[in-house]
Amino acid sequence: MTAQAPSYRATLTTYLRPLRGRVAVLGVLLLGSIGLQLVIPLILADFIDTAISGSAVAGLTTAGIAYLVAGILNQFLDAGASYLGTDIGWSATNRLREELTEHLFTLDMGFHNDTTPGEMIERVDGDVTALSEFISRFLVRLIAAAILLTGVIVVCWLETPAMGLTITIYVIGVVLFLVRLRSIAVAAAEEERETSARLYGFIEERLAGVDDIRSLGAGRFTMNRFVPVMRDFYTRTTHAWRKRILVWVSANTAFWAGDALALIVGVWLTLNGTISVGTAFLILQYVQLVRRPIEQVTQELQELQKAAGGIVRIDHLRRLRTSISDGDEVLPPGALAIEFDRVSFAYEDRGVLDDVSFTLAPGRSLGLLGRTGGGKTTITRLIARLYDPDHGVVRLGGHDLRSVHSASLRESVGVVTQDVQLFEATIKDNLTFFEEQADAEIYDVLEAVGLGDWIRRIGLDSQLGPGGQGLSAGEQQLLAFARVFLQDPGVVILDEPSSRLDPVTEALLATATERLYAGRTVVIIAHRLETVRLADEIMVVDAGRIVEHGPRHELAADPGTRYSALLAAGRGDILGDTRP
Amino acid sequence: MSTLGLVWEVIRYRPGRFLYCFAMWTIVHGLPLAFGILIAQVFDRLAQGSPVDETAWAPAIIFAVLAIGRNLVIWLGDIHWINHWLEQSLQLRRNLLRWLMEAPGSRVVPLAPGQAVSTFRDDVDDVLEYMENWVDMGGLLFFGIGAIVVMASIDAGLTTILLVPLVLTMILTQALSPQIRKRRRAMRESTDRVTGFIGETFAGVQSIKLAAAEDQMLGRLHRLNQTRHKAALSDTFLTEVLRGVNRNMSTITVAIVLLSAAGSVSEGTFSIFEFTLFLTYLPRLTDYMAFVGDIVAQHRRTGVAFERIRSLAVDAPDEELLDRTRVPLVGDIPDIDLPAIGIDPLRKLEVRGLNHWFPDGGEGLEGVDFEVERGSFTVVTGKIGSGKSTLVRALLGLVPSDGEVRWNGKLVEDLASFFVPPRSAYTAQVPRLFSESLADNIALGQRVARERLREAVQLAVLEPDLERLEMGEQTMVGARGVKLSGGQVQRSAAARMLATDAELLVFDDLSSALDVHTETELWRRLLSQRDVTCLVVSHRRAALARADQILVMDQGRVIDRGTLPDLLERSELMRSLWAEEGDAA
Repeated sequence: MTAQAPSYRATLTTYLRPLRGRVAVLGVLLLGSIGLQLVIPLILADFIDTAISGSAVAGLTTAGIAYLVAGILNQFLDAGASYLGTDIGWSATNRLREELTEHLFTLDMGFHNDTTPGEMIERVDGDVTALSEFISRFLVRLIAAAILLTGVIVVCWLETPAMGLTITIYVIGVVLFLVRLRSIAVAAAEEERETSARLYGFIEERLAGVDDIRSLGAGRFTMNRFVPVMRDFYTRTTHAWRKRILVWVSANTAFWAGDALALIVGVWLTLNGTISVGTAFLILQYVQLVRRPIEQVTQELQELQKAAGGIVRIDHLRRLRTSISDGDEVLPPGALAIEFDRVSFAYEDRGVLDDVSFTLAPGRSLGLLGRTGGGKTTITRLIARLYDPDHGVVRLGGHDLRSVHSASLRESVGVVTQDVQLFEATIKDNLTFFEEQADAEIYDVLEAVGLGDWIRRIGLDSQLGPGGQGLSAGEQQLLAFARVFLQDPGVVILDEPSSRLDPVTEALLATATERLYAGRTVVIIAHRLETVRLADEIMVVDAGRIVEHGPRHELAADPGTRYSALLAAGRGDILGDTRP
Repeated sequence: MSTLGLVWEVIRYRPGRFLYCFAMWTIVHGLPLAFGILIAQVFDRLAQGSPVDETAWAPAIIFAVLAIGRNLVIWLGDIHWINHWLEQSLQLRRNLLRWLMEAPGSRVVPLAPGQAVSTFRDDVDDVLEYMENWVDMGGLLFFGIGAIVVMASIDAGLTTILLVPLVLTMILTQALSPQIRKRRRAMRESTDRVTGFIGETFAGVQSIKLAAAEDQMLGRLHRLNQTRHKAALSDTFLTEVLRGVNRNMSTITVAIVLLSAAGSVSEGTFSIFEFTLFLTYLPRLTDYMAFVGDIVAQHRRTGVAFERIRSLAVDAPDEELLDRTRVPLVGDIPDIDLPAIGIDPLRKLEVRGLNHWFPDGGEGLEGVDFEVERGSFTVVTGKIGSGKSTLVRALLGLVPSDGEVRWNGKLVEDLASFFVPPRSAYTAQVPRLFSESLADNIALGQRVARERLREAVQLAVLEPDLERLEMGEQTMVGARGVKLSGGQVQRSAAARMLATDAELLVFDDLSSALDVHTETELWRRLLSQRDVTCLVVSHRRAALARADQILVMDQGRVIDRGTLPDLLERSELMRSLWAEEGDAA
């Protein structure tokens, strides 16, 4: 824990400093509320003593009104503190979420390919939320509860040492007891989450596959499979809940034992004349008053550990740096030459490109053919600088990519990948990545890719489901084209969609592809010969090496080339995925 | 069925255990009635002054014993209550799932699976939470009425005044608590949007980097964050308002007692017994009133929750949803076998005037007629969106339709329950696998002999993949089969279908994940090794070339049918579908 202390403090100060005004107000509200909570039982105790003695009767009405005012005022202070605590927590951590996301964007694809989106949700939201809870609760609840407990103990000691000693022992004893108990509950909660995830996972999968199940007449079998899942859920959840009940009942027993203790100590001290009846009543009130803060202290101590884990993980992420450094050269507009100069590249475990050299003149188009895993995709990733080569240089328009400014590179290189990434948002937002852009411009582009009729029918503002739900594969692919048109880059990389499309839709795509070629340098990863019919040059890649590269019509004319062999085989559409 | 009727039906699942829990909680909630009297007695005796009244010890000690002993009753009640709760939650969930999986008729789950799961989880929990109130109800009434009677017998006038804030608490809670739920939901939704967005962002981080869209994405995250921030504040605000109502009402009742006591002191009628009794009862009474107010709100909510359960089940009668058959929590799980359907081997399938409409008004099917002879190979082809998939799904009863379907001339009444193995089997365009082993996925819960499994795997051209997978057929395929490639999923689904030994095989477009070689091989093996009848959606030459009959679809109608040579001669659409597919050749 000591090693983590500095990052706690650093994180807290970084994100709370801009909010220090609000934090100060929060502190005032809390202190006010604590004071009132201490005073209210004193009013009651005093009231009882006065009433019993029968003197100073006039003061009693005032005491009654004081009680009312103090009670309501306390409620307002407490509610205000809670509200402000929430506000501070979210203000601080939303900033952290955004900064963390921004930082993660700067990391290279090597990092992102190793992490799942689920993990990122856990870091950027889960851990940060734990931190938010920690801030709002640590400040509002834990500190306040600790002060209140201290206050009660101090007031009791001032009344009489016997009372002070009783309440001190009680508070410390119960806190220690509960902290130990709660660790049981944490493990149980974990187990409960897992088992219920399994139950609902089963249900969700079966609902998604209801057609498969019903058409295969497997409903009864499915319900039979559900039995062990239900049993497992029942047994484990019962187990987890039993632990929780044990914790809860034990805590409750401790609290009620506190009431009993207060009453007995009160009787004893009153009977031997140490305290008044009102003070005996005060002990009972105070014992009941400390229940909530004790619960909070023990609960927050647990949260503290959870938040600690989160802060450490967030801190670790913030320290990561990309291995791709940024340059400052700016690429000229328009079509650019592509040059690979003795490029080798390996992913962590396997080599992919081995001493590859080629050039592609500006405005030319190149069709990449070859088996899956041969290195076609890697070549395009290096052009887009998702990775840097291990050896050799990749140049665009004569500039070494390592010295080009990343923003300039992104403007110049457009990529259409096979799997199109769509967001749960409107079609317009999906095309512009949530940036404002004139509708007319977007309509023009959609017209150009052949989606004109379609968009006029459904509208730019129609909402897509998660992952592009509601669109056919062909429509998704065309939207990806539209994105690149909007970007208007000088270099286009196109990973050709596989055969999910029907021939008529494919013809539509081909038209869009032709338009995309005009005035740009184009590299296409082709899965079928049809696609590269329009390419100026053909390159066949196998096992990380270029085995053939030349103008398409020359290769086609020479019967000794691999390309013409493929043409002769006449099975263009299987080329990319030829099975060994 | 009314909400009360619903609760009654739910309680009847295991009435004995419910009664036991009810009794326990009546004791737990009722005991504080005695606590108030005991505490008041302690202070009454302490206030006697000198000579000291040693009898003050007695009520204090009785209180101590009861207060601590009460926890034992809580424990005894709870320990059985959780079993009751869990078993009933499973009963309702099982009934709902069983209806969706097994009921006759065509069945379109009216919600996305993710949303439907929230009905399984949250709406069922809502119903049970409400039922839980009925366990508390006896104790609440016992304490509430008892406390009011005791207080009224001491000071009827004061008690009447106190009822005003108490009833107000109930009314305000009842009005506010649905609002809080609404805000909670808004909070949950805004959280889902943030996490969904983060997930999508990092799933698509490559496209974002490539499009240099980092700033826009951050802007979007910022806006979503702000929405959530506001939702959180709104939630906190209302929660605090509600808490404020309860606590302030409690404060007001105590203040009324104080002021009244101040009056009686000056009249010389002050009684410390009354005073402490009222002070002990009132906070608990306010809490209980709020609780009752919450129950009233929950009553309505439960009606809504059950309505959602009903609408997910579409046409399920309530008896099905509330079926009291025990959930088999102990004992052996019996293997079940397909009921031996007295099957009439297929000679001819006839479809006449098959229609289907999409609920959103999209194009469906219009008057589709066709026939399928035993042992023939029929291909349904056409452009994207022409209704090919809808045609086979309507035939199999997966979507509602009207029209006549005849099996060997006999009219089929319920397509969905009729078109199952051993009559027919189906592979969807995007087949779903489940997170189990590959072998279990293929067997789909049935006992399938190893040889049958092997044969199905071989027919589906899946055996080369099995050799490459480390665990072979025991490989766990991951959620929805994510650990397999698209082609492997499709071939596993084909194997699953072939393991059923059905007569009519319906394939919805294998081409999306299979290359032509594999697809050709699959057809070759299937047709050479089995006596099957195939109905295939495809635009691939591999399928078209071996078709005995091709149905060409456009805009939900079969616009032409015949053999490939005939269609190539006379159908423009057929020519374009055929030509583009093989142009490079």
